[in-house]
Amino acid sequence: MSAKRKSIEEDKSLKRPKNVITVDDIKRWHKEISTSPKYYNNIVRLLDGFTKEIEKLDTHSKKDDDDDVIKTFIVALTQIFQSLLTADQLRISRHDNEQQVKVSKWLRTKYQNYLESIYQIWALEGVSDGVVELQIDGLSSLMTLLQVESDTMAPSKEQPYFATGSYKSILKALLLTGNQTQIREQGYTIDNPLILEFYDQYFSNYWDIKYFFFDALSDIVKELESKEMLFFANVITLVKLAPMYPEKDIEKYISERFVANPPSKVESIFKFRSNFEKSWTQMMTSLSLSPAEYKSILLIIHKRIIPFFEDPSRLMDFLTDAYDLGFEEKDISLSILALNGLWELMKNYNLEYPDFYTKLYGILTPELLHLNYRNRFFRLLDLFMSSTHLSAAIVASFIKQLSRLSLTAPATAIVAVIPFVYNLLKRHPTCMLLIHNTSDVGKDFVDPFKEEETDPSNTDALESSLWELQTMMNHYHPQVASLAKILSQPFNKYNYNMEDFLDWSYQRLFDSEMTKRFKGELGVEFEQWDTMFGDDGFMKGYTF
Amino acid sequence: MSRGKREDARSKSRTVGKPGISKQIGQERRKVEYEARTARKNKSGGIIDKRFGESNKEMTNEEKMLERFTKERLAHASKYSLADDEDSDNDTLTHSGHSLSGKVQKDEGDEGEFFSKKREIDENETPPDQPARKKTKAEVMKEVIAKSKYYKHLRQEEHAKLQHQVSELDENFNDVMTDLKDTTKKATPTSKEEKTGIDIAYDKKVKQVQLSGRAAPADRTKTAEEIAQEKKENLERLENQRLRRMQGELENQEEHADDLDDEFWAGSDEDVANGLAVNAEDAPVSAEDLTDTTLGDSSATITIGGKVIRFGSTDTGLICPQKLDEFLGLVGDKSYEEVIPLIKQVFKKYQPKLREGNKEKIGVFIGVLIDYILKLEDDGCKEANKSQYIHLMEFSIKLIRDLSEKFPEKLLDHFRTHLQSAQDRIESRDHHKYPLRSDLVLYTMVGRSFSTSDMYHLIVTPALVLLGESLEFMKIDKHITDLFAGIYICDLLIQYERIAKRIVPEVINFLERVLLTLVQDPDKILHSEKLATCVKQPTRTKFTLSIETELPADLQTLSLSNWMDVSQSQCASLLLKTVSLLDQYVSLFIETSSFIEISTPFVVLLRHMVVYHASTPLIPSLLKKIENIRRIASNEREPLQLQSHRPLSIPTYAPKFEENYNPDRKFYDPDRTRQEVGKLQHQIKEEKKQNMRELRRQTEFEARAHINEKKEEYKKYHEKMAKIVNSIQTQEGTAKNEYEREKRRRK
Repeated sequence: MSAKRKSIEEDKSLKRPKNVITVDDIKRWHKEISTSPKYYNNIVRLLDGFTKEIEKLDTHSKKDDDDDVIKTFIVALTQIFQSLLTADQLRISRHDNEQQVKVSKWLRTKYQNYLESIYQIWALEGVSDGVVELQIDGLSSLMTLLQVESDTMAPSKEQPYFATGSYKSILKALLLTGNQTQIREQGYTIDNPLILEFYDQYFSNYWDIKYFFFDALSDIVKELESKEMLFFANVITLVKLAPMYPEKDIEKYISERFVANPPSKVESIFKFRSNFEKSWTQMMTSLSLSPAEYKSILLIIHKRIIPFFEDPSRLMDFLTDAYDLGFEEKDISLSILALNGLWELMKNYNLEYPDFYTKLYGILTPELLHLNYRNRFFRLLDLFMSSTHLSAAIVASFIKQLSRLSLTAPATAIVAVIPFVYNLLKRHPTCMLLIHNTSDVGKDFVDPFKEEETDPSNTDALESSLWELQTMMNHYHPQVASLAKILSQPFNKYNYNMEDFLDWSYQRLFDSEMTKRFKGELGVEFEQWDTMFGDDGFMKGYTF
Repeated sequence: MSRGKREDARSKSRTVGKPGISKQIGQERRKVEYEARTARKNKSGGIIDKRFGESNKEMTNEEKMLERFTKERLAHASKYSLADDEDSDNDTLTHSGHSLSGKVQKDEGDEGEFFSKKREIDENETPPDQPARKKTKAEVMKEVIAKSKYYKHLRQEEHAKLQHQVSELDENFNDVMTDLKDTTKKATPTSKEEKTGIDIAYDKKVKQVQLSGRAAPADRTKTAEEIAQEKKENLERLENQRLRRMQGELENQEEHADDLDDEFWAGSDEDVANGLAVNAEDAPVSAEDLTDTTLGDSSATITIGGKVIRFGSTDTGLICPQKLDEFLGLVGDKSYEEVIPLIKQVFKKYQPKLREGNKEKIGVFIGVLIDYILKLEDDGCKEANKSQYIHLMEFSIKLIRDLSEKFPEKLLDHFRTHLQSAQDRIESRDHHKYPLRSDLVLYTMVGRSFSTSDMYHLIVTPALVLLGESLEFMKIDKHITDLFAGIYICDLLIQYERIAKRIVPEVINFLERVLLTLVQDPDKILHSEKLATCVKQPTRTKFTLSIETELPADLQTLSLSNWMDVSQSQCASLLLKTVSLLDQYVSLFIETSSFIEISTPFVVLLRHMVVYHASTPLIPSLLKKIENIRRIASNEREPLQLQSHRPLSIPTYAPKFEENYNPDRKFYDPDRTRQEVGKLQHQIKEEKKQNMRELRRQTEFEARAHINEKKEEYKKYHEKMAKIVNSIQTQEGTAKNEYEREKRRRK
């Protein structure tokens, strides 16, 4: 901040001293309110000043001490409403006279105004560190008020109460905070400091906060009008960080309460689960999810969502939608992720899935072997292929397609494909025709494999051969090459343990090479080049 | 009759037990044994310790030992020994004063007489003058044997005699020879005194000349053909080794273990004299350069082992940089041209030959040099002194290549460090950190220095993994540096695999991706479902060429320092480069069994490209070439027969039909050994049973025998007592009678 600018600001304040509220003003008004109800109008002045300051924030024409002023505002208003709440000033009871009812109603609107002005701070975009601090202050202020309100505003004294109305409005504002740019590409979580603060201070610590969160969530989803992406990212972030409740000591975990006397339904895990389920199904149906969002849900569905569902079969629609969407969008990773959940449902809830193997065959696309999820897929495929009722034609199609894909695959994927194919050949000996076919095919033999056929039982793969894997016997990596050679050796081994081959990465391949010991021998190139680059050089057509 | 017959048969077949008799036999046997045992009891066997003081408890161990020792000595000394006494020759045995010798003689005489007499009797028994009885065959044989024995004996004696004479001669021979020697020595007179000073000097000169190195015949100067021949043989040897390594066979160490060192330390005298330990043959450039470096220096000389080694005196304060910073300090702001002599000087001063520890220092310096090269490459250079820069780079990289033979272990460490750093940077997935131009230079250095065709290689294999990983993860549609580096790596991999022709799936994938990134109108490619990298219709990217862009007529020289260039012309030359790379890879993979599958997407792409670049001759010709090869490949294609192994017999365990099956036999075990074991176990059990029974019988018998003995003893005792009592009673009776008689008499 330049000195010049500052002086201008000061000049302004000198010219129009009435419009500018200083820290001292706030403190004075605050003190007056606590002395007598007749000063309640000071609340209006405070709120007006507060909103003005917030508007200033939005236009970016702020000074450093503006933050302090706003902070003082927040502190003062929090304390005012806190004392009002504890003094039952906001409560309307039958014994109150008309005057009192009027005052209470008026105070209530002011209370609402205050909440809304905090939401206003939250809604600011392109925020700096100072504003983030204010947002977090606002959050702690609102949560304190929520606590006090829940403790004091029960319809009758000593009755269990949680201020669900206020909480819902807070959540509605909170879950729309943040910025598009903060959303991470991987996993769709958001780096929103406000949400993370909410998670750290309240959501992860207090069971009733969590309970009423999912109690309100489905309604919020219904009323949602815009900013679906932000809302979604915020919810995913909250859910992804940890399981809803631990497997052990649930009693102890849910006994942590934020408010003194919440309704007893909080204790019902069953109720929580059905709320949780309702919110998720609501989100999955009413939000129009993008493939990336689908993927983010699928990534956490097994650890974070399904265990807390009352009836996982309600995910059926979602999973089949995701699986099909993967094919429509030609984004195989989505289908692979959905496949795991589908399998669980098929296994446990007898889900019928038509053309299952045709769809599965559709996943074998060129991207498959380059994906990080390929290990996940191979584990499942191993499972699906373990059925002995599969026709040899189907199995052969899978083998042939996998070997076709390995031609452009990274070494790490080929390491998995070869033992997988070996196991399949061992399990379905008819498919040995793929590597050993002695039938007389005549002179005009053409590879009968139909690569464009989508139905694995009609590809004629069984009459083809795995030339691609034979090519891999000459792979540049010695381990891959020797692995490929198992197909030309007698099939003596019963089975290869797939787990030994799935999780190879280039890094692991590299490390295993680097740990080899030097044995006094290092093959040196004896061919000589005069230069590195240039016409007679090692690399022609380049220069430094 | 018939009945008797049957009974006979039955009695034959039946084994008849005779318990009474067998019991009696057993008892008798036991009785005999028992009696024998009791007779021997306390009479034989047993060991009685008669050593001194064994049972004396009052003596200590030492005392016992001492006592034993003295006893032993005494016993020894007291023994009368004939051999000990020298004067006992005269001693004669006597008997009551008379010498016994005469008697002995007489005895001998007697004996002789006795024998002779006996012989006479023998002869008399068979009188010789009896009419010649016909000799029996045995007698004849005996005679023959006796005769042959006699002659044999004679022959043996003669032989022994001869032997004896020969050995005697042998023994005497030495004596004779010594005598002879003595005489010759005495014959030569001492001529040394006559030698003059000149003679001595002359002798000395002769000796010197004889001992000097020049006296030894030098190797003949080889003719040009011989040198060529040697070179050829050497290359063939290296090629054979390489071939073995390519096939993954383990190198036999005998040829190599010391080979390197010898060549390096012994065969490079001239190079050492010239300052740098680089094989002159391998590196003519460096040898020339190195002699240049001594220009103008007032060279100092040093003599080691009679050999004169020159080195520049100006660089005596030169340190051997052990860190990049040290070397950079040394380089200072010298121009690139001046760095080359500096490097040479360091190598010259720290020749491993000059001082111990230099070898290690040079080893570290090589690492510093690699660091320096990579740093230079990353820093880049200004256009003005580019030729100098290139000269320096080429020089240092060549130097590293030459040193890789001499310091394999050091270079392994250095290269590993750099490869590891590259790997770490790849894993960070940050296109600012990887690829760097230095990485490309590093891979190129690896490929140029080491045998890339090896199946297993400590540096090449990890480098290959890195190259593969780079191609896999480069985002060529986003960063031009990735695109450039990827194309460069593909080109480099051709060099890596030019001999072994191994397949690199990452390259196939990458080339397709590059073409898709650069080619015009990718969204209009027909048959895009045949592409091997994606299922969706390809879309335009940042680097997609505009429709009117023409490819350059010839391949442009690509400059590493120009790798950030995103201009259309650069992209166009990259595309042309890619097509020519594809051409080279097609030639490389021409023999792979799945060439058809590999080339399918490229046919699609090339058909698409022909439309836009019909004027570039390379593309249509490549397309034609690929289609031709595909046609041939599909004609030659046959189903695989990978499992045509020699059939192996299957072991059968089917149950065997048993002839003469006997249900009483318990074991029909097909396993012979198991059967044997079972038999033996059964035998052991039976024997054990028998022995137990036998022991029981024996003890019973002994107990009975004891009782009998006791009974006998009592009986004897009672009889004896009865006798005594009887005799006493008789005496008493007589005495009473006498008394009665006496009494009667007195009455």
